[in-house]
Amino acid sequence: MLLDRNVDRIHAVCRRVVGHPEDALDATQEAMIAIARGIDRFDGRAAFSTWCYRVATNAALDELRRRRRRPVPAHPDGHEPVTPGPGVEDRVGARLDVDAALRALPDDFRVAVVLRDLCDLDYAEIAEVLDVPPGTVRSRISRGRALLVERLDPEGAGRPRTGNRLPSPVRQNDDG
Amino acid sequence: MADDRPDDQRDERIATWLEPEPLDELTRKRLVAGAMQASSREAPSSGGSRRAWRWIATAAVIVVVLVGALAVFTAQSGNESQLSDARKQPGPSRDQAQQAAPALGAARSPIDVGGFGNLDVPANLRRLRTALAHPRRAAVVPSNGGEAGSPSNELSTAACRDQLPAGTIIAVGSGTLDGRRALVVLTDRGDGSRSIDAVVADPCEVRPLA
Repeated sequence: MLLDRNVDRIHAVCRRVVGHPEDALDATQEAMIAIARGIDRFDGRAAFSTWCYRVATNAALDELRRRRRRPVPAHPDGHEPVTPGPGVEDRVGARLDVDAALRALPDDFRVAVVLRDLCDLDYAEIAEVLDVPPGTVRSRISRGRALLVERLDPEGAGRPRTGNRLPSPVRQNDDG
Repeated sequence: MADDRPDDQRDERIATWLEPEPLDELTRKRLVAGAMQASSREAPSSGGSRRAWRWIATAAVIVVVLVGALAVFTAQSGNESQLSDARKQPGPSRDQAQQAAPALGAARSPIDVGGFGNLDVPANLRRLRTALAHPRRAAVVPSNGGEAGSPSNELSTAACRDQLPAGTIIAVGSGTLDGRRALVVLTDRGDGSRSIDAVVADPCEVRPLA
């Protein structure tokens, strides 16, 4: 079943573009509904997976917009909650906080990097999904990657990117 | 797309970072089921939408038909009105018609067939009977021109007129009987029979003639 086969990829896009697990699930659901309803209108000009990514990207960006319109609840007594100081593990985790790093990226850069490096779409496909020229895609990916590496691996930002010398993500703060 | 530049290659390190936690099976099923339910809910609503459009189309057709019928009816009314106006224009005005009404009323009054002289003469009486049988208004003034007023007026003022048979007076002629002024009256009794009577003056009396 098409939906069943693509739900993980759709969720991955939504998860990384939206940056919040619960909101990402909402966006994933919206994208799945849009795909289920629009599957009859899928014209087959692009690959089905590319079309799904496009729908997922739009749903995620819509969710982001909704989230930004939502008022941020203030703490009842007017003070921000006091959090304990970070331990060593937390500091490592914070360094590898992918969500925080992605949040720091402009939406356009984040989406481009997610589609290229997570979804493995080529530049032409990303250009089609985002409806922008391939040159723009190249630029966004390049700058997005640079910003991401700068935040997630500052020491290794200047090193060549070959091999797997950088640490894998140890912890992500999106587990609730 | 052929990616020849190093930057165009997928960055496996970033790919590893970006890979999210996998969905648990329950969540996966919930997402798929939610999408299927929402999509199946849309189908009846789109059916409902089609039905709504069908209703709207039917209503539009009805409105068009009604407007068309109204337009035709209005056009016909306009024509009739114009015809009516056309009929009215060459004809008499309303005032003229009202003026003509007494004349019509007079037509319903007894027909004066004229004077026939001495009715003791059988020929005169016979001519009078014939005239009453086929009454036509007299074109000439009665021979005994000394009489005042029309026979109808005379009859209405005659003292013995109530002795005439009940019915509708159709025609009136005049003459003399026994040397006395006489009005001969044809009366329709309403039962299919008619009578001819003479109202003789001085003194007023009614004589049946037929």
